[in-house]
Amino acid sequence: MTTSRSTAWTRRLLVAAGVLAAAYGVVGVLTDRSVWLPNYARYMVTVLFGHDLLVLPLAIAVGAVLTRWLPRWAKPVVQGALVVTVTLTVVALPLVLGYGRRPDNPSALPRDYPRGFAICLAAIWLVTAAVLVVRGLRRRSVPDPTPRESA
Amino acid sequence: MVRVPEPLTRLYPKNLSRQFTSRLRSPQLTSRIGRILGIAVAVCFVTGYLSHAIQHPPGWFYWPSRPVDLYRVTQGLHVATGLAIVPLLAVKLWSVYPKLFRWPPFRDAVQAVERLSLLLLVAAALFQVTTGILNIALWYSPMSFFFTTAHYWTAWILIGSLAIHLGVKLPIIRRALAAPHRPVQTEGLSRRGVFTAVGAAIGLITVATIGQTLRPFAWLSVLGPRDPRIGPQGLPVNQSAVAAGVTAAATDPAYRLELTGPTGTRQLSLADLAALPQHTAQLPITCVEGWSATATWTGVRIKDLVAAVGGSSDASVRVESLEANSLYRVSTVAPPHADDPLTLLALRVRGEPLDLDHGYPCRLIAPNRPGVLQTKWVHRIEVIEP
Repeated sequence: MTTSRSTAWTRRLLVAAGVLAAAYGVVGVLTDRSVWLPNYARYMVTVLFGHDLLVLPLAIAVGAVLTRWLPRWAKPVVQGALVVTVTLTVVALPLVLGYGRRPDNPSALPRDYPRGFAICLAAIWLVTAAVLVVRGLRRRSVPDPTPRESA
Repeated sequence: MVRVPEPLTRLYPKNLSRQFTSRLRSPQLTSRIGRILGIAVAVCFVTGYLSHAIQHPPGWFYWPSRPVDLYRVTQGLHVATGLAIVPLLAVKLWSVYPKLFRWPPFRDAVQAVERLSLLLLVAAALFQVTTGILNIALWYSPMSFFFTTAHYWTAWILIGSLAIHLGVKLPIIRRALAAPHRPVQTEGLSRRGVFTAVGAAIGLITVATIGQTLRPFAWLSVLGPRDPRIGPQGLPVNQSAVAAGVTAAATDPAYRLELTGPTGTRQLSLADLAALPQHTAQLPITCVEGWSATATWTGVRIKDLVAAVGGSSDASVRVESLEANSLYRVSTVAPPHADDPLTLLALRVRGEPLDLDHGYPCRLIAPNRPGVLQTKWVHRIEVIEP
């Protein structure tokens, strides 16, 4: 009884504080002239719909296709490697494209990012290959104890 | 009557959410990922607000000049945590994705409002992460708004809509976190496998970028937007003298520093400044973009300059740059920093006169302060008594 009451109060408090904070942010966005509202709104809509209706479904579809014909023992490892690859790419892409480079400032984006990205990808997939080899060998020496239901 | 063929009926709104078949999706996974994501968002919010308050101090705010490296840690944490959010947010959103297609979209007004708040939450989260990444990659053109203020206000929207979300979902979260662990019957990744993948992604992203502030990792961080070893005099630069348009004024032999205080105004040439007692300090230059690099600076103590024009130890100091049009042309050094013996008007770095890009003829360098406030190409210093 007391737990449910304290839970109810925690929930109310969270929602009330959340409404205040979010409203403060929304009012800030609407009134701060430096935000430049039309461009801000356009960017917001682009990332929201771009993620929900393009990037995420595409990632799910590509992941499903790429792992579809893999044997059961290999599938989770490759799925994990794909998660790492995709999220690393999100961070690396703006650097690899290099639009932030400036001729007057060689210390901004000073590295060879396509090379760095390639090194990271190589690291991911070398580790993945090593894990797959170990799994494959182990599978050969010890037969899978869990009986598989006939499909 | 026309019969729609079977494959197409799957795309009916009421059938759409059933097309997602992974058994890995569960309140258990969502709550466990969400718990870590929530902590990461809180870290970003607190460190981000701190950085904002240091630059635009509210009346109640006090920021000390020591420890010297404190801001370096908080801002490095802000950027590193923000990057770690990428895999967490990706898996979190994947785990609840079918709910986006729930049909009917809402049953009553309360649920409609709640779903709208989710829209705000997801949009704000994606906004903060993507603008943060674009900003550290110095790629401003996709953001045709002012990053700093937009990132600040959206942080409030994010933290607020997250609190609403937690309030709404609290019973489900509690139940899910208290439920006994039962392995998921799945052909692919297990729940533990998801956490291993997310952990690996965070580890790799961190190692690949953290060297921009942790010098020992600089050789390893192949995707660091900065290298603390690279730049004029082995030190990175955010804004060059060319970009600031100060080359002519900064190299003019007629350059004089105007020093104003309670007892009057003095004009000091570079030779006059070099003739004053020189002090050396090891201080980091710490950018809001998360990189930092330590160097040995030599110059005149700000507190000595304050005393020379009759200022007290409680005085603030207004420092102006030769730059004509910049948001960061002027910075105010609060009393704790102005009175700190480590705060210098630096003339030299690593034993050499400052490179033009580092603020020649002289720049401000103070402990525990963001780089944008370490004014370069200083031409006027005004002592303001409380």
